[in-house]
Amino acid sequence: MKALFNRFYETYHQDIYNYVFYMVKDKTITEDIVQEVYIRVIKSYDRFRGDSSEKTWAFSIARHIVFDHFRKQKRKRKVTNETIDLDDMTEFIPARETTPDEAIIHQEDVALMYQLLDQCSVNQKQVVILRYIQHHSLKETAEILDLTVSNVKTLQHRAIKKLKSLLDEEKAKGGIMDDETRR
Amino acid sequence: MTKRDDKQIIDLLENLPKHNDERSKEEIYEQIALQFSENPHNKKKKFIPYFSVSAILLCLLSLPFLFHNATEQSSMERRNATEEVSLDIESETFHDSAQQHEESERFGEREQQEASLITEDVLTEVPADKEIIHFAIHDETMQYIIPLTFLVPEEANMERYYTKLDEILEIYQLYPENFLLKDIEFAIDFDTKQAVLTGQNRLLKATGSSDLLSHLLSEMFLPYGIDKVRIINELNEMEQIIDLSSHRTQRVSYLLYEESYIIVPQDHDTTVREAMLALKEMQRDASINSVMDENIEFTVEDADETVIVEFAEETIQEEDVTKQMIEAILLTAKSYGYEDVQFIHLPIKQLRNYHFDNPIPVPVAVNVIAEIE
Repeated sequence: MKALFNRFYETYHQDIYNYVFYMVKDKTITEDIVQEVYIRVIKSYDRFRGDSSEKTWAFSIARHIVFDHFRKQKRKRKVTNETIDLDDMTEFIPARETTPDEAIIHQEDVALMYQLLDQCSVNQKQVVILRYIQHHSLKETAEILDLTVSNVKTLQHRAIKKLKSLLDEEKAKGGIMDDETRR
Repeated sequence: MTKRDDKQIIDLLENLPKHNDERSKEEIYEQIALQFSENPHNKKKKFIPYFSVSAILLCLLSLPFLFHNATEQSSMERRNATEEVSLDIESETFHDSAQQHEESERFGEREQQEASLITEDVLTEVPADKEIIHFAIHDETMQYIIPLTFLVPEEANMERYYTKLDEILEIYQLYPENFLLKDIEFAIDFDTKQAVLTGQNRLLKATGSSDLLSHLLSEMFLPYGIDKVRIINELNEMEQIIDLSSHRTQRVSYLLYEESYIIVPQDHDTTVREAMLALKEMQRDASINSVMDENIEFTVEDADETVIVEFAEETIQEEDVTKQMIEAILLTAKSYGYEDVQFIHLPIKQLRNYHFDNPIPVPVAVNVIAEIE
């Protein structure tokens, strides 16, 4: 068990942590989810058949646990009679803790983009995280998300378009200075 | 949105910080070991019957997906003559109504940059402020699927177009005989990825008797990530769920043009190279025109998301380079998940909107019928 843990830790740990963090934007929840990823990997590794790469398999497990977390959150919301679509789960992502990493986001547009990412649908957000923050290929992203490459491209295109539109809106509100203004 | 806009957003995303776990490896392992010691007898999960899934998939892959056309007239020639007339996608084939003329005018008034995104039957980029509606019909023999693409305003209510599917197909004279989806009510939630179709009992019967319906629905809904469609009858007394996910791994056969076709080989095991070479031999049926002269020689290689097609210069003449050939290659590359194609040693530098100096992006949609409001 420890050998498997060590190998997965050295190979995938920080990438999976980063993916989960961007999905839930909460340090404690991220730690719990990543821990659960290891437990499921260790329990099911003997059944891993190599149909996909080990990396996409591990990320798929992380994705399922993130979605389990969102579903639990949704059920909690239902108790309070609030109805929220699964695909709008970003709405009930908990209030963020300030992490050292967040503190170093100083560039205004980048900082804004960090916030705007939460306004994408969950699927769009996943594609953006995997493609542009984690630099997975289209094929890897499709395998992790159980989508076609074409679906990934569509989500990617829509996410970029949405982020552009949101960024423009924010700039128009004057919250963020554009390059021209800075000069 | 321009490519520069895309790049601006991508640059910002790529500059987002990496979040690293501050815990030590030992600390994490201790936590995991503790959980294992607390729950030593965790239930094993059910074994997934992978082989059954594969068998079903293979059956689906073996289905014919070619479109039959009775005409044997040389459609390429007729088509080429048409190509010279206009870039006006709606006016080419489908209808002649006053509405069409209005739309044609509107299309003609677009800025050149935006118009150049549409190369008649394929869409190379979704124009700014537009979304794509994916429809699909079947041919009159009910054997083959024809994907259709309509452009709608970006902020439009997408579901509205599905509720008007019958009407739109009638307007564009695309309504097939015995259309499986005739008089169907659509309830689609694009956010939660749910689609419910309500219709007469014959629709439910079709779910059991034919794969045509699932092929049709997969063309319409998989591009939006909707992979399960619920079908209920009008009295809400019977229900069937169609799982479209097995269609994801199928190579798409594209039917293009009114009388000549580009068929992308769909054998699951073929490589992109084999598929492209097969374009030369694509005369499996009298109704299907070959898109490439069989004497043209070329090599196919890939580099990341680009397919490089290098022609043997002595085997290809200027007149061999047709729109059909270029789009057949682009669509074949698309069906294998590539993003663009670099053509090398073509005898011409440009054909219509295709500039061969740089890699050409694969089309985002095929059979673009019209822009609708």
